[in-house]
Amino acid sequence: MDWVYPLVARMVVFVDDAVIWYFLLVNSFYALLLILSIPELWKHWKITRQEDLELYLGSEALTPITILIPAHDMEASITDSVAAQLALEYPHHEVVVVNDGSIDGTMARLREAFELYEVPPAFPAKLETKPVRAYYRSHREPRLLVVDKENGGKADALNAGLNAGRYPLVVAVDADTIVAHDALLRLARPFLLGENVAAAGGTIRVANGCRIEGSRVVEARVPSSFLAAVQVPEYLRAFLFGRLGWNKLGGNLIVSGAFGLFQRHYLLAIGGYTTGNVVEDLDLVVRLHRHLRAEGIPYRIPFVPDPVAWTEVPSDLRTHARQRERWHRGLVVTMLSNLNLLFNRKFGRIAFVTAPFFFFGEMIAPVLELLGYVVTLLGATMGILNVEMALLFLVVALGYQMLLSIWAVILEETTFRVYGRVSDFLRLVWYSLMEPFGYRQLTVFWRLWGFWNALRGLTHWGEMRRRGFTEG
Amino acid sequence: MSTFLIVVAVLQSAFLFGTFILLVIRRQVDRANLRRRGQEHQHLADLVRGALEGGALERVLDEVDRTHFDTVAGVLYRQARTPGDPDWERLIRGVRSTRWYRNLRTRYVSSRFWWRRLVGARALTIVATMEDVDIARALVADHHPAVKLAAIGILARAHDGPLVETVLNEAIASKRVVRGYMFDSLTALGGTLTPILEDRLTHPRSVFELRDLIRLAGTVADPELLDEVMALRTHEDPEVRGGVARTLGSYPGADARDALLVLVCDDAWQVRTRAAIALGAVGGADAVEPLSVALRDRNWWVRLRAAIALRRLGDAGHNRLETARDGDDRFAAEMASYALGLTEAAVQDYLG
Repeated sequence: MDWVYPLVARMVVFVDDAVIWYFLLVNSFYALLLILSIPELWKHWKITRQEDLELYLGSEALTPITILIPAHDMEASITDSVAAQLALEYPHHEVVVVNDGSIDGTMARLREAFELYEVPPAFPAKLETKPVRAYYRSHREPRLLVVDKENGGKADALNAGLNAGRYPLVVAVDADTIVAHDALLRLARPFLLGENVAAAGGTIRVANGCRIEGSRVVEARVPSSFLAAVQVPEYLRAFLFGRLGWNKLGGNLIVSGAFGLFQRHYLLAIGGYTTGNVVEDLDLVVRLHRHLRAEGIPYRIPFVPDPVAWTEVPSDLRTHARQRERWHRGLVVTMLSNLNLLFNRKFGRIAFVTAPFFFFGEMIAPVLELLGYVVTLLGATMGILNVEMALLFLVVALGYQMLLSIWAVILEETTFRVYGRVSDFLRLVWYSLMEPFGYRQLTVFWRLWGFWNALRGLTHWGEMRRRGFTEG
Repeated sequence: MSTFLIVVAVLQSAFLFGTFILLVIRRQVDRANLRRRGQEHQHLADLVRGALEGGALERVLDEVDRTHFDTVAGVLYRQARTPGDPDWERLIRGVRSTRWYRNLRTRYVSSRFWWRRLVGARALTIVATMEDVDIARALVADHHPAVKLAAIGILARAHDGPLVETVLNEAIASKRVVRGYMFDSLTALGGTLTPILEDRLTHPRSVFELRDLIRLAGTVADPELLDEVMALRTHEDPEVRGGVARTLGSYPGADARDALLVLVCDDAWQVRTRAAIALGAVGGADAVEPLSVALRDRNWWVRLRAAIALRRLGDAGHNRLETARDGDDRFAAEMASYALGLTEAAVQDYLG
């Protein structure tokens, strides 16, 4: 058996080399996104400094927007959430709340707070959904429509909202998301710049720890809990340069489900949201790309950095695990069900740049990272790999990403500087440094779990526990 | 290898550490600058306010030359009054003799950097006079959409026929939202636009252009344009006819109503929809019957708009909706019931 050890040794070295090269490539691609995001960020930042949003407010030019709020058992927050969306600054917008078979007092709270009255359906239902029990309008808020339907999940509720909405643009907003008062006006900027916009995404920021008054974030702060705080640089990395960089590289594959704007007729053309997919936003945008490419329609799906929606991120491990497991499960399912998109000339840059990166860079990354840890440990234990190789793996896989997080924080600091306190800036840097030690490995584990569940065909959402926002 | 890694790590750490220190220092500097600029802003704003209330202009102009470009632009933008206001125009005449204005002309509006032109275009919206229409024309035709958009505001202070033509051409060549935004500014010009629009409606360059011009004629609602609009009511393109129907809603009068009574029976549902909306706006007892027919239309958009139009026609329309609600046509009954159930605010929201 003298041949076993040399063979294992050669395999360990080969796999270690391959994993190191893989992470070098993937993280270098992120670095490229970072570089590409800088002129985009600069452009939007320069425009925001000269933009007079009040002029837009007084104009009839902006296309009216329907805000869709799917609500399931949101008794505690639904009325505040609806009131906040109705109060958003925009020339013409309506709010369509879809009560998705809530078993708590969601419907009663809505009825009472907005003095609802039942109306017959006044539109053809173009998308199939679970049966609608009734439609309501409000004596107090003419721009509010409430759809009460049987439970069918978030995607089904959004489809019912799409049927009921009457405006050409739709923004899907989670009921527990706080949209900044001027976010809709800012999100409409690509239309004002004359782009062929099929959809547009805004920035999602972490609301935990922020000072909130009257459903508005009045002061951004970095949360005190480690788990929530470490997600702040992670979100900055994902939104500030991740998605902004894609603006230059063939378009975004994700428009966040918590705050994204779409052309309604395109959504109807692709059959709306897919029920059963746990990450309906990714699935929707992939299908949108496919449809628009196939039809030869010129389009863009830009990301705009300054419209902000604030969301509560999980602050306990259990909820965090479920969220990340679900996200990765959805990514795997969507990627595997769109395999024929990869390197298909018909779909242009999406097929040759965006989709391959999501497939090889995002989807299989946790598998290769685990392999890297295992092989490095094994190699070090068996004396096959020296300390330099182990360090090289850690530097390329973890150190490189740490650097990217720090750059995301620097980008935020040099442009929008949402966090006003120096201490918050320093804490963001600290959490960027800490992310690779423990938190990163945890997310790898949750993502692997999601990968496994995707292969098993699981389609449930899992319970998401929210602590809710604390006012004042 | 390990020496190399250590050197790289040390250099990276030193670089990042230095960057953080710089960023923290920058925060403090920015804070101090903000405080100083705030004071400058307040001081200049007080002087400008005083000058607008009849005070001396000299101190304002001295201060304008001493103050940062952006701060001056910010103060003037916030204090700006309606074009033509004598106090404001006196101030602007003075400001145009300062170094600040010369900077605006030489370093901003003609800069090769779009963000400088953007600053210049925005500043020009508050200080432009007829002397600046050539610059305005260049800015409106700028290749950067943000500059173009900002420059549209100059129209409110200074415009002539060629500039209006340029804006009109740019608008027609733009995407829908930008076009709408430009049309808003053109509509506010009234008289200058009408002869240009009359000519273009009579001699359009394409059917696409005609669709947009009709829309603009609707928002301008100048009676001088009615003949040109009426001439297009039998145009072969349904979008043009739809545009005519929408536009006629802004021209109350027997001629417009008669044309709408024909258009509400058009073959294209888009035209019928717009004619129904317009009939609701121009009113008249003779609109009730055709709208009742439209309430039974095979297209739900037409039914919806006809029902809402009937709601706007007072008792006669209301009675007709009640009859339809109790009638045999299920779709008409449903829509009538929907419209009757709407609050007045909800009806207004549909019209918004």
